[in-house]
Amino acid sequence: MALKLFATVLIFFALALAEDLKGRISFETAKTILSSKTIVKDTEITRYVNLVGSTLVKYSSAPELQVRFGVIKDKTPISISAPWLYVFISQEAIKQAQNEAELAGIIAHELAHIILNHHSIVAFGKTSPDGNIPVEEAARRLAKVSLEESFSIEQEIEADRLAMYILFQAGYDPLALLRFLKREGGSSEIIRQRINAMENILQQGGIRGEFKLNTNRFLRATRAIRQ
Amino acid sequence: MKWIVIILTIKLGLASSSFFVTSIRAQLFEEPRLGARVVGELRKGEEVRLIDKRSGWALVERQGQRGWVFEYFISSSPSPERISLPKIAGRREAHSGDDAAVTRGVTGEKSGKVSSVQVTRKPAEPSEVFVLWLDKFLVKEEEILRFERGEWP
Repeated sequence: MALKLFATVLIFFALALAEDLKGRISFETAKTILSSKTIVKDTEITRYVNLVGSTLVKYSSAPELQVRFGVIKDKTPISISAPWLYVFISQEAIKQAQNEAELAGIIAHELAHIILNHHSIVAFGKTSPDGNIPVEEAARRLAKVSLEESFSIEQEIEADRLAMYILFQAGYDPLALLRFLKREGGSSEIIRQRINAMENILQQGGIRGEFKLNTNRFLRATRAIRQ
Repeated sequence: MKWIVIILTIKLGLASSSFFVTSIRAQLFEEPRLGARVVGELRKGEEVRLIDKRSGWALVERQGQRGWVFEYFISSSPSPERISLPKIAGRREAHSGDDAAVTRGVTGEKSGKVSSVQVTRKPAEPSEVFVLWLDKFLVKEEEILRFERGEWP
């Protein structure tokens, strides 16, 4: 019993140190991303995106994450992230979304990449970088993964699946991301495979329940971007 | 240190064969699919016994009740209440064109927990200013509750 308690304390202590390192790397990664992307300094839309994003974090499998959400200028509907603390969504993605559930779907997909440690797996071959890699170097490699969208199709599909579950738990329509991708995702092979994978989940018995879209609130909150 | 943690984690996991709910709530389904009947709800930190796994789903047992939960929502180790991310205390928001921005030098406090960052003067990087600007949008639990109730804006 005493050994188990000691081991548990030791684990928490070690995890705390590891998470501090992740925080510093995340900050540097976000800086690197924002050196090539321009942030939209609009308080109202940023507040709204943070409320939607934080609601998703709350119902995700990692509610302890303190993720910040920002809007960036980009002519394409993209979302990118700096693991483990920053998610950026483009103005164009917000413009093309039709309701809050679709916005939540886009954010949930990015959040899923963070929770599943996909950036780190691509950049370092493991779920977190070694402590002996300098913070700036780790950040440079993680930002490269984000900006070049280097995730495998398996990782994209896994992120979509987790995103659907997060949407479900948060009370948003779990089909919102699928609808957005079908309408705005284009015709690339990756998008086609992602859509197929999500439709396969639905074919296993559909989805039961009543879910929110929050269309009116979404249109009010994003009015400035749509004008 | 890392290997000690891994070994201890595995040993603890095997010894108890217990898993813990990582999400604040997780539905327990009768079958491993989203459209199945919900037979219960698990809460964060709750201990469950893993019985089986099937394509992204885990069959678990809790106090005699069995059900399927998203595999992602349970973990072999209890998740921390709040990850100790570097709190950037004592810093001020840097503004564009300002010649003094925040340079991060981590200061340790008791228990090795990083809780503050020293501020030194250095020419500002615009990207850093923007990252710091996002800090003021961190959302509190009560704000999420109000948002969920539709009390926004």
